[in-house]
Amino acid sequence: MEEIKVNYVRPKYTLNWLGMHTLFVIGISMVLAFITVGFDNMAWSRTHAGLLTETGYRLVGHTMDFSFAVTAITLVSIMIVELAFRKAINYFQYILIAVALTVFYLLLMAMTEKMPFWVSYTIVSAMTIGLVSWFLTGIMDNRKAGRLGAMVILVEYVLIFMLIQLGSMALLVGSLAMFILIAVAMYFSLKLKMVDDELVLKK
Amino acid sequence: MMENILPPPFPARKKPMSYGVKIVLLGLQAGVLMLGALLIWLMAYSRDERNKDVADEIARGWGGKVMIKGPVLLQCPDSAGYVVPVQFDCDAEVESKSLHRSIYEAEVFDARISMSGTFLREDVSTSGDYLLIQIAVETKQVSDFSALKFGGKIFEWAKSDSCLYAFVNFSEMPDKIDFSTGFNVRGSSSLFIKQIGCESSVTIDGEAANPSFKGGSLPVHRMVRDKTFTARWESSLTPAGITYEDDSGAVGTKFLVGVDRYQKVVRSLKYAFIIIFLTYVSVLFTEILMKRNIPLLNYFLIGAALIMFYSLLLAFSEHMSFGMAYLIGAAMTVALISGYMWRMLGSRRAGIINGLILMSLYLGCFILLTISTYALLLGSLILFCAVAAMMYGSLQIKH
Repeated sequence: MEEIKVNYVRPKYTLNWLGMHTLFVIGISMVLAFITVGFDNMAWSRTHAGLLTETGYRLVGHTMDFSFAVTAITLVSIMIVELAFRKAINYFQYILIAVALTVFYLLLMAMTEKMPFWVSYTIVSAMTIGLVSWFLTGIMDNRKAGRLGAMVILVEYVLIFMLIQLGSMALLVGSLAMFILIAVAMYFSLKLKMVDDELVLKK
Repeated sequence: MMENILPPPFPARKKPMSYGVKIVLLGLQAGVLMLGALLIWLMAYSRDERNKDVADEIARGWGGKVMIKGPVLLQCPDSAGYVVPVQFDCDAEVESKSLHRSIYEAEVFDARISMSGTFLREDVSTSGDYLLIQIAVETKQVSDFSALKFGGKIFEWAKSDSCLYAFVNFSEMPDKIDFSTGFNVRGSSSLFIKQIGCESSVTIDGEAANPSFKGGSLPVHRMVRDKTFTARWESSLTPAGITYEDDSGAVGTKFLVGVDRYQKVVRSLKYAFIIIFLTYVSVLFTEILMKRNIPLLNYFLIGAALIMFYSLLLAFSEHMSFGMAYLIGAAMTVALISGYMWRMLGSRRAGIINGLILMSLYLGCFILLTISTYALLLGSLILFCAVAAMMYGSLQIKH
């Protein structure tokens, strides 16, 4: 009797994968948020040294307040991109993307010393978005994945720029944005289906 | 040798989580979500503090605390002693209004003070013809003063920084000298009137939210209804017991300067856990009755939406009335969650029923927030009904 060969591939995208990656994303976002606190101290001392203006410090500091949310939301959406395009992104690549999102604050601080805040914010956002979307395109071998990632980060940066300028309306706009974020997460949770023990993003 | 080589079996499908484990995990999840509620509580607290500071600043610009002492007769020129009226009646009519600066709001008031009373001529021991009568009050708070009627004659007030004064001709006065006058005063936070006469009666009435009556003595008559209030104090003292300089014996009313919307948000946050709990129970029952498996992730998203309601409530209440903010926030949350349940279970009925349950939960909480005296009674009745509903639901489950 002939030997029966079975190529049994273990499912990769299981609920376990989702849980582990979510924990990983929260962990790395926390670590980088702590590093951003260090940047904030640095910006404070540079303000004392007269390199950064008071207004510049206030705006850069406000931007840094959102560091955890930006890193976590971006990495979770990259997880969804990974699920949709079914091409593995390893932990190291996740970390690299998170680091790029954190270097954003360092660059922003450095640029704000030399030019008005909105100019430096635009330049640094464009740099970061370009880098991450290029990297995603490279990993996925797919332009669409890169564009999706770029869009998520662009929306976040535009929203944060609005929030730090709004003053008394910031809480309202921020709450509405969070509400929409939950609605979007609910939408994706409905698209997520288990097919043969594997998570699939239904089209 | 023939051997049957069987392919390795496919791993068995994981059994769905048992309800016991699920309930424990949902409890943990609710605990984690309460951290979000704590965060919103801290936010409401810090915004309350900031609002208080700004409200105080706005109120100071309008006119601060008001203290009215007088009138008394000063025996010039040495002005060593003073004469207090034997009879003193003062009536203050308070009209409160709110001043806005962007999202900040301060409650201030405008009060019409009218006072009358009697001095005895025999108390005055001066030899001259003229006497100084004065009322101590911050004069920058005072406007629209009507002339002083003193013993049937009319005198005009003059202003100094800290008092209204007038020189009165004392030569042709009767034994009992009646006086009456009035002025408008604007201020915030508190209105105090000193009981300056041997027989004093002070009445403060008007409209204000949450007045509290303070002072050396309690009002003999008090009434607070909706937004209007009345309070009357009476005292009888000997002239020796009355001092003009200090604030002892002053009675009056304190008002809230800031707004109470943050307190309302904080109070509604107290019901966050019970809302999450009851919503989770209703979703769990739906799951059991429809024989479907709802993953924990979906529960978490529902819980997150329930917590976001409070953030929306806080944000909306800064721009509109609390009731309106509650209505909009609750409508958004109920719509989101019931729509989610509908799409998730593919059953419009499940979505509508869960939406109705959630709506009644929010309605119940709102009623609990607006009535204070019967809150405990009504709250326990609602809980009783919730337990009864749960029992009914559990009877529907057939094994």
